[in-house]
Amino acid sequence: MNRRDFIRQVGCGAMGSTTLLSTLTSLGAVNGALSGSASKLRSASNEDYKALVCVLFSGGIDSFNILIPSGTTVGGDNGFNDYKNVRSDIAIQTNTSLLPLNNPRCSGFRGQPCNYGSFGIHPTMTGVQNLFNNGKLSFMANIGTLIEPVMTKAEYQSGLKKLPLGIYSHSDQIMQWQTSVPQSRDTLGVGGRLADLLHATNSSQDISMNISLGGKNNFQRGKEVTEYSISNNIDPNNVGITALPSWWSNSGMMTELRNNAVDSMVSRTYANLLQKTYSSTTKSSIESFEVFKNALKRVPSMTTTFGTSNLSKDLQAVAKVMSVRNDLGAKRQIFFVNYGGWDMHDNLVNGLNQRLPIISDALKSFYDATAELGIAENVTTFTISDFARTITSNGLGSDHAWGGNTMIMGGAVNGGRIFGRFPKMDVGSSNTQNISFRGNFIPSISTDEMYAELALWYGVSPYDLCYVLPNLSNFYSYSPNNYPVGFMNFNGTTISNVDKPQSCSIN
Amino acid sequence: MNLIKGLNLTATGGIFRNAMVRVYDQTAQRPLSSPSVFNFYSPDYIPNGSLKDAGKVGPEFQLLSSQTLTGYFNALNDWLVNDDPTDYYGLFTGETYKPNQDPKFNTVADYVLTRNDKLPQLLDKYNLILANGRLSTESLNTISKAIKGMPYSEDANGIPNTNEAYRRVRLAIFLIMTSPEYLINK
Repeated sequence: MNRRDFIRQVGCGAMGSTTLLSTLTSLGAVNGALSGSASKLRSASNEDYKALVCVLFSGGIDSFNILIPSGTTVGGDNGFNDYKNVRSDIAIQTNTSLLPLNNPRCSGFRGQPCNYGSFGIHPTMTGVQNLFNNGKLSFMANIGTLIEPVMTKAEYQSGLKKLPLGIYSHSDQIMQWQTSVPQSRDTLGVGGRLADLLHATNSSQDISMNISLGGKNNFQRGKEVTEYSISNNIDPNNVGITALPSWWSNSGMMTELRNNAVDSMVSRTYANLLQKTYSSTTKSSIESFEVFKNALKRVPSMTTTFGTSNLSKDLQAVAKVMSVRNDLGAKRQIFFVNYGGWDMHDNLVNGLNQRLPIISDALKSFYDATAELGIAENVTTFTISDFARTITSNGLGSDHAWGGNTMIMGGAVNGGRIFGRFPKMDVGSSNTQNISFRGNFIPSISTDEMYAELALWYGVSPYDLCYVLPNLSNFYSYSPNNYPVGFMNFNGTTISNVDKPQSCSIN
Repeated sequence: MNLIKGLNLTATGGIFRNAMVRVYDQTAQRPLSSPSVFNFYSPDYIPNGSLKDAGKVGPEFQLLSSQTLTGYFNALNDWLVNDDPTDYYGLFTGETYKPNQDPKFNTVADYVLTRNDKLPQLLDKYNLILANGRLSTESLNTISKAIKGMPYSEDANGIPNTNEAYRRVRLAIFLIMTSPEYLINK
């Protein structure tokens, strides 16, 4: 550390605890003057930075039309014909139009084999195909909400296994995917719990570890930590509270009067709890925005281009925030993005043709942007959704189901593979993974196992996993080199042994 | 709504239109436009902090994030400071702009209350109209202090400078409407 870095970091620490807007504005001046050193830090290699990006497809995406078995060997791997028979009018009609995945090595799970060997993806998802075949993206097959393993339809019906509340219900399943506690309707989110454990890692607490492009959400809600919500327009001039118009004479002085008045009203202690909650939210938001605004002034120009969809804009904003991580004092960050509109009971085929390429392009651009920033190995992006949809058609689309397929992307992912047990595309009674004549599959991997692997990578020690995932012991217990699913590459990663005792009860 | 009624917003043409597109962007709220079929917020939402410590729910706070909060402040800024209270959108193609359907607030009558010694009356008036008198003396003093810091002058006949008076009135209302005692309707 040289002298300028020292001054800068000491400056940040000292200012961190002050409250006045004017003080924070002058902090910007200090950082601005020393921004040369910030850009030097930015390019540091092998820095200890890790970020998780949760992309929610709200509404329940039909993920059995994203990852599709492609084999046509009668008597052998005949996945495509099974798929086409059962999905009928909502199937991709020819296997030659699928984008092939090179040797996906579908792993099977919990001792059960994968049902198929060769796979392709939806014809519009060229970006995802490229990422997969270049080892930057993997799929998880038939993953979903579970409290404990449920292996067969008989177990599901026996009444002896604990089952998630409200299977097939949007509001329950979208929440459980974010909390991973399917027996509760009032609990913290996985991202929030991760941040509870690790937020002290970040040198500055002005901006929350959890940054949301999708507003309030369950995923990022912790005991101590709440999300910090931003819009995808992160031009510094669009951030925070507008100043009074410049044509007002003395507008700067009056803006300050206004800000001080607001600050003094929200700094008082109110007896009314609602007023107290509003005041504290206002106060912390205003403080954060000032810091955030000043950091954003130092976003570098990037050559990676993004599309114009909201998902692309959101992920571009995430990449920009990551580019100023050092200015924000962040070593760990969790982002949340929501791209909705997947509840396609109707118009499914056209709907997917229009919207899946948006996902694919946005993910590809985002991966490229992290590579450009030199942090591809430090960022892991995963997709979640309420549930998958019924395998059979309702004549126009598909309806609510349970286990589905998700993607996981990043330089530290064991890419180009399919983890989990892809179900047999068969709604007959001989298929024990299926619980409905419409084709609803019992998840083979639980959300707990996916999140546990991400948590270990993110730096949660095995002792603390039960705080993040209260049901995890039903599925997994840590031992060296035994990972919950296996989709992360832990080479060169030290598993943390820092014990931060927290109650593992559900709250 | 409170603002429109309270300040008696009128369009000279007698016809009102408000697309509320910008409002929705800023606050994520618009009448009859809940974000999902599960309405604006769930009844058991518990915000972190004092409500949670007390074991109470605060459903409406699900709508309040750092984003919508600044959105609200900036919407007030548009409505009051920039005097642009509605989103004027063309409803038909080829329509010409009709200024008499694009209303503005008229606060001229309050200008006489903007002199320092009259400020208590100005603030009392809007405290009563907008907040049903909920604002405490302490908050009113804070606002009064800020307004007194703003320029004010009057001509030989004691008529306040229009620009300065306009700004004082608008900012006073802005501050009332951002105060915790206004926003929480107990």
